Amino acid sequence: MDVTDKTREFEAIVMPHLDAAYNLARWLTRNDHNAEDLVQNATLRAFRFFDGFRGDDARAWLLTIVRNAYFTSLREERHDHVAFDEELLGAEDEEGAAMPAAVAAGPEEAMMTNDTRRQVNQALEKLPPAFREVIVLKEMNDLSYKEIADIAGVPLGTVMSRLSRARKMLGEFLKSGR
Amino acid sequence: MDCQEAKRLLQADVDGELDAAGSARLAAHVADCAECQAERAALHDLKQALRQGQTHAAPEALRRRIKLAIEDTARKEAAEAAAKAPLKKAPFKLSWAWLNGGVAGVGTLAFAFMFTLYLSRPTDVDLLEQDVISGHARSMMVTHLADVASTDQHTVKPWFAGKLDFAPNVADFTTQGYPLVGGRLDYVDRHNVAAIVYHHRLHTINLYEWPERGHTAAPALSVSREGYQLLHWNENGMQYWLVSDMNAQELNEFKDLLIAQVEKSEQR
Repeated sequence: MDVTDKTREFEAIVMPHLDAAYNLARWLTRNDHNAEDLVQNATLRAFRFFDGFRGDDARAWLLTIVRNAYFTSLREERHDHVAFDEELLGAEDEEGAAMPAAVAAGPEEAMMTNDTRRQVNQALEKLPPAFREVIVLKEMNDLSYKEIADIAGVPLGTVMSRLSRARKMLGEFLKSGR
Repeated sequence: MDCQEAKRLLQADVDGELDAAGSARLAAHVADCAECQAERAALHDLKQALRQGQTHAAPEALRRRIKLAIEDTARKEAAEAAAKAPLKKAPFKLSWAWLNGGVAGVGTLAFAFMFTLYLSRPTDVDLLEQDVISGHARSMMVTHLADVASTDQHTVKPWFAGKLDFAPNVADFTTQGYPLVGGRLDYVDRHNVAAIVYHHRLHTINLYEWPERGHTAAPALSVSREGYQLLHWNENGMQYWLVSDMNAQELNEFKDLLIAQVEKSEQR
């Protein structure tokens, strides 16, 4: 592929998903500066490997590169992989625990305020990265389980259990934060 | 459907991942189960709450930076491609180009070398000069100045008879300051030649004589070689080479004497 054509195609196919990439990066890094670095590096990496992109889902492809870059850098920072996995996935908890009642309850939930937004943001930031990732991809990018499984490189069942676990944690955080 | 299965499916249902049949079966269970209703409500509420979560759009500055970085990368890739493209085709072409250049270069060099050799090749005259000078130097080094030592030309000249196929001119110029010392056989230019030895004060003069013998003799010349003075001329089918460490002027005077003497003897 000619380099000029490649640039044009890349800008037409991949660049429209820069917002999604940045949102994921921002939620993963929890920091504007790091998010910008991550997205820039990931996008340039995507451009370099754009010749090899044969897929039909440029968004999923770009998001995959972003999250892989992030978790690779996270892993490089952590020489202790056990600690990494613990932070990544958080402590194990019992399977199938019920949603905290406090979250479920509350008709005042309908009255969303800036306070609620702040609480939600804080709760999301408290999630271990691996759970934050699936929640962001599901709730903000509205991706399917299958798409999330492809991006995160995990089985579909893992996506479902991580989502379930993430929601329980979020419920607890929101309950305690209130 | 029991609660355990229902709870497993609730999430898939709110996420819109449950098929219609599963969704209907779940709805039937939840309708009769307060616990599952609460669970479903909690999931819905959380989903609602998470919509309040901030979504971050890529800053415009980042977008611009990435665009520039991509263009920069594209330029580099184009340059790399341009650098690689000729290399891929080149090895063969390049080697032939090198070969052509090499052959031409070697040919040119060889020619230049041969031409230089040709130019620096000693000419016949150069060789003659060398022969004459060598002969003179040899005659001075050893006590072999003359095979026949005599100041009498009538002794020296007959001595050559039978040794050469020509009769050299031999004369004594004692009165003019060039006494005859003797004569000897020498070998110059692949010929046996007559070498007549004269003295002039402390200088020794060798006069080489031999016939032109068909091939054109070297033109007359007067040169200085390796400290020796060389004087050459042709006369009456004979070539004469005078060599000495005398200066050119004196040697020329002696040459004039010799020529005059030869002309005189011819007239006789």
